[in-house]
Amino acid sequence: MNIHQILAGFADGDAISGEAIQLRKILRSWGCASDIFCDLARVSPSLYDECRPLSEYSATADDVCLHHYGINSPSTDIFLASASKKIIIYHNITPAEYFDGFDDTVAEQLRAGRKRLRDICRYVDGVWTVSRFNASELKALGVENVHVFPLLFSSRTLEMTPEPLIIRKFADKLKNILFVGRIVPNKRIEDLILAFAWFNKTINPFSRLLLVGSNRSAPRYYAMLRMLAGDLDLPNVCFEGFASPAGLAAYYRVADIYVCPSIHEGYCLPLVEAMHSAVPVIAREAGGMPEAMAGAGVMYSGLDEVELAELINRVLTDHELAVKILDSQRARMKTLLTRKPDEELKQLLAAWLPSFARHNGPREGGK
Amino acid sequence: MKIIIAGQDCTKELGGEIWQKAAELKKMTGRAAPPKVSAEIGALALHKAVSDADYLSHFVRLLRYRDAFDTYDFDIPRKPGMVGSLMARIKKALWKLLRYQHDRIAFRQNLINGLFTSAVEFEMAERKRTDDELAGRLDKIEALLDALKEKETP
Repeated sequence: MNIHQILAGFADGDAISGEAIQLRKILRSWGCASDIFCDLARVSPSLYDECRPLSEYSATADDVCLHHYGINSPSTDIFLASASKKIIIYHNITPAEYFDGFDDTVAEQLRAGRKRLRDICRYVDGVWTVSRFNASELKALGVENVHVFPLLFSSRTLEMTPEPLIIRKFADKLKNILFVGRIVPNKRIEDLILAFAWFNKTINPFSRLLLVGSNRSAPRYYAMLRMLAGDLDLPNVCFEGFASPAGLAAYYRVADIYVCPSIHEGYCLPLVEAMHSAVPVIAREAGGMPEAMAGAGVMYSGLDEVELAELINRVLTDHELAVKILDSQRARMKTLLTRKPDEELKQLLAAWLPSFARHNGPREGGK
Repeated sequence: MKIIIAGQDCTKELGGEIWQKAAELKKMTGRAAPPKVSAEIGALALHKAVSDADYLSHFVRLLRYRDAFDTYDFDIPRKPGMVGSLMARIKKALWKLLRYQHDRIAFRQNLINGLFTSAVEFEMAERKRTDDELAGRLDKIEALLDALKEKETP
C-alpha cells in the first residue's frame, strides 16, 4: 500500500517536518511505500535527500495521501486533486491578524488557509489534528469525526552530543532564560523581553535571555524585537537564530529555565523538548500548550511583565518549588515516552480505510 | 492572574506574593529600573502598522530616534564581596581610561548611522515622488481613454 505525505514546507527543526519524518518511518516499518512530497523551493537544503519534488507526486485510488495543513499553499491543491484516499492533518492556522503589518503576504496566506479549512475538511476522507485544541477549532466550524493524534516527539535529536561552542559560550555563572521557537508575532516574544528587562535590571543582572529560532519567518517582527531590546538597554538578550539539532541540545543543556509567552500554539513541541531536557518550564495557558504540558511545569495567565519576571525569579530561586516542577515534568515525559504511536496510528488509519484494516489489523492473539 | 504549578492552582498561595513583590519593583525608578521610552516612539509602536508599507514608514520614523548611541556612564553590575567590589573598580577605571577613545569612535559611528538614516528617508521621499508622478500620469491616461470611449459610443 502507498501512503504518501504532502507538505507545504519541509525544514530542519520544524515540528511538522519532524512529525512527517516519524510518520514515514512508522509507515515504512509496516511495509508501506511512503514518501514525503514538497515543493523543493520550500525545502531546507539539508533535507533535499529526505523528500521528493511535489511535481513527481502521482497516486491511484488505492493509495492514501496525508496532507499536513497549516497554511494555504499550492500543495493543498495538489492534495485535493489527488485520486487517492485523502486524510488531512490539521496543525492549526495562526490567526492572520498577528501578521498584519508584519507580513502582508503571510497574513493573506493564513486568511486564505482558514477560509478554505471547512471546505477542505468536508472534501477529504479523514481529518486528524495534533491536539484537542485544534480539534475544537474544527468542531466549531462544523467538521465532524475529527480524531486527535498528538504531535509525535522524538528524543533522538536532543540526545545528540551538544554543540561544544555553544556550551563554552553560555555555560557560565549567568542565569540563562531560554525560549525556542520561530521568531513570529503570535509567540509574543516582546512580553518575554519586557519581563526579562525587569528581571535583569531589578532582580538579577547576571542573567541572559536566549532566543533560539529562525528569524526569517517574520523579519519585520524580528526588527521590532531587536529595537525593543535596544530601547530597554539589554545587551544580554541574545538572538541566536536557527539552531542545528546539536545546537538545540546545547541550548537546552545551558538553560536554567524555559519560558514560553506564546499566545497561540497548536501544540508547542519545544515545551516537551525542554521538559525532556530537565529544564523547568513556564508557559502561558493558551492554545494547545496546556495539552503539551498536561499538568506539568508552570502555566500562567493574566500576568504583566513585572509579575512574570517575579515568577521566573521564584522558580529560579525556590529549590523546593523547582523540584516539584521537575518531578511533574519527569512524570509527563514518562507518559510521552511510553506512548506507542505505531499502534495509535494503526487504529487511526483503520477507522477510515477498511482495506488498511484488513491488511494491518490487530494480529490474532494480540492485545 | 492565574498560576498553575504541577497541575495545581497555586494562584492563592503564590499570586499574592508575586503581585506584592512586583508592586515593589514597579516603584523603582532611574537606573534601577528598565529605561522608559515614550509609547509613541517605543519599538512596540510598530504594532500599530496595518500593512507592510505602513510598517516601513513607522520603522523609518522610529529609526531616526535611534541612529546614534551615547557614551554616558552606565551601571556596571557587581557581585557581592571583596572580589566583586575589586572587579567593579577595575572595570570603572578601564571605562574612564578608554572613554576618550570610545567617544571618538562613537562620534564617527553616529555620523555614519545618521547619514544612512537620511539616505533611507531621501530614498523613501524620492520613491513617493515617483509613485505620485506615475499615479498622476496613469489618471490622465485613464481619463483620456474614458473620453475616447465616450466619443466612440454612438
